[in-house]
Amino acid sequence: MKSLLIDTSTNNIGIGIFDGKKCLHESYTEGEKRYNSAIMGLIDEALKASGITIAEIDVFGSTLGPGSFTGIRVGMAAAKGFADGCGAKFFGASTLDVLAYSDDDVNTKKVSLLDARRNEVYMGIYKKESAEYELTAKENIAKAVKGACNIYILKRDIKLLEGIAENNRGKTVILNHINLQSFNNILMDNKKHATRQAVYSAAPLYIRQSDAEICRKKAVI
Amino acid sequence: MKVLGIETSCDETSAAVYDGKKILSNVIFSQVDTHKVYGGVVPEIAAREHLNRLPAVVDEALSKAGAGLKEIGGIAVTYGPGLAGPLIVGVSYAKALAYASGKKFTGVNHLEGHLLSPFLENKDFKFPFAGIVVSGGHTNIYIAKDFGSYDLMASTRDDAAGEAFDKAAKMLGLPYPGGPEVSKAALKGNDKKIVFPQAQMKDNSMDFSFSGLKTSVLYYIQRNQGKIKSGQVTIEDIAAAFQKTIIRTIVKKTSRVLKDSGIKTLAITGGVAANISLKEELKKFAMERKIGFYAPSNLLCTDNGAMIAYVGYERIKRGLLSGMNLEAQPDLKI
Repeated sequence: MKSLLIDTSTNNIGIGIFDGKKCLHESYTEGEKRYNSAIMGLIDEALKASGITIAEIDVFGSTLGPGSFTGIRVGMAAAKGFADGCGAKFFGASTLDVLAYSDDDVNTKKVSLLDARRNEVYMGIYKKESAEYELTAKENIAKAVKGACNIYILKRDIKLLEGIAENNRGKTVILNHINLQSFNNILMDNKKHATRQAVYSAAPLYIRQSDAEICRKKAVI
Repeated sequence: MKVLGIETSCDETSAAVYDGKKILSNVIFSQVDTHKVYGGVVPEIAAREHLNRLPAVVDEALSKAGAGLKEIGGIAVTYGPGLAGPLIVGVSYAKALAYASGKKFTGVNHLEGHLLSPFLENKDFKFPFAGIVVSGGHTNIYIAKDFGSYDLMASTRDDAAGEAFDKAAKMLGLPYPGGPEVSKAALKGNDKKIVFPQAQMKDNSMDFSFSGLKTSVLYYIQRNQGKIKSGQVTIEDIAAAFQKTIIRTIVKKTSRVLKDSGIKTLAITGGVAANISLKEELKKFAMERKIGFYAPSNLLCTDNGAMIAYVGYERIKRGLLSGMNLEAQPDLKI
């Protein structure tokens, strides 16, 4: 099974092409603000570098978020467009899941953290086989990560999460980017969720509501 | 050649197939119910809705046209003007669809789509013509000399006509979307009870300005609460006077454009073109002057994929293709 996976939920455009578990090509490009104009050229380059044609791809995937609203739109819309154009399958995974999938130990508590701006953090909490997603204030994180065996953060967020990393030395894993190999591992472990139907049903995972929804909720309360 | 047109510039997710002669399908999913509770279109929510709906809307358009993607010769997408988030979804999806299926690809200006929409339903419609594009975001008058050759003769300096309708509706306590509600109320009102001023440009410009009218309506409501409560003046009367002022302004400017240019064909397009009174007034005006008058059916007044497929077809036929680096341009002009 060949897959083309995209991550645009951070300030990188990540593109990975895989044949089963084998990585044929992987690239990470600083992309914030230029996702829309850059992504197609980068995918074209990735396909050429991997030596396969787009028609050979069985599954197109994108991270669903949380993260950059614009990035998620571009990545998901493109992956769905590719899937429709090739009659191929779609597979989506939470950005927080991909971040935490750096090892496959499912029996321990793990936490993945992503800067959500406005002094807030997107948080994925994994216990045994359950996953919870939250948007929380920075000051709540110390309590939430208590008892976690591993904490996954991005290098770009180190300034915001410095205290957490400092207090949890030895169990904080700092990654350069949302790892596409991890994304592919999720796909390999969940092949049955890659379907044609997912093109229509896979929804973005924003976690944070739009400002209009937040204001309306406040007004109703 | 069949062309698939995709439109996501505001709150309508639409896809259509046009074959050079007729519209084979025109699927429009309106988000109006989603935005109703906010009293207007919320760009972030609109973009999220487009992302959820677009593949199914495209699938339905292809299926209603009785065509698989294999039979499509080209893909056209609106790349501006419009709301950034919604445009990005359509452009990203369409580029990937075209790339993966190896189809010709072109970006279409949303305003050009509206302007040329009378070609979809009228075999006798020809260049040159004066075209009014009147919607929630635009109030423009163009002289369309030929395909791709358009002169902007007048545009709004502040609120678009559709925006003014929506704001007036809010002031009058009418539900969203305001345009059709004001129009409905106006039909029951007396448009002679109140006279709202028409904006005059100091520099003798052809441009429109509707923000003063909006303020006049607000002041009228604030200062005449007694008359409104006693029923001496009704909401319907205010709506009728407001609508009459907008219509008169549009007719007056149009008249000047036609007179100056000597053009004998007039078209009104865009969402506000569905307003019956506006359509009727312009029709009457045109008939009296022996000017050919064209207005699309209501389904082609609203934002729709068919008009994008039409312009896309004409562009692809002329070899006007876009690259895969095409970006959404929220402020795109004709």
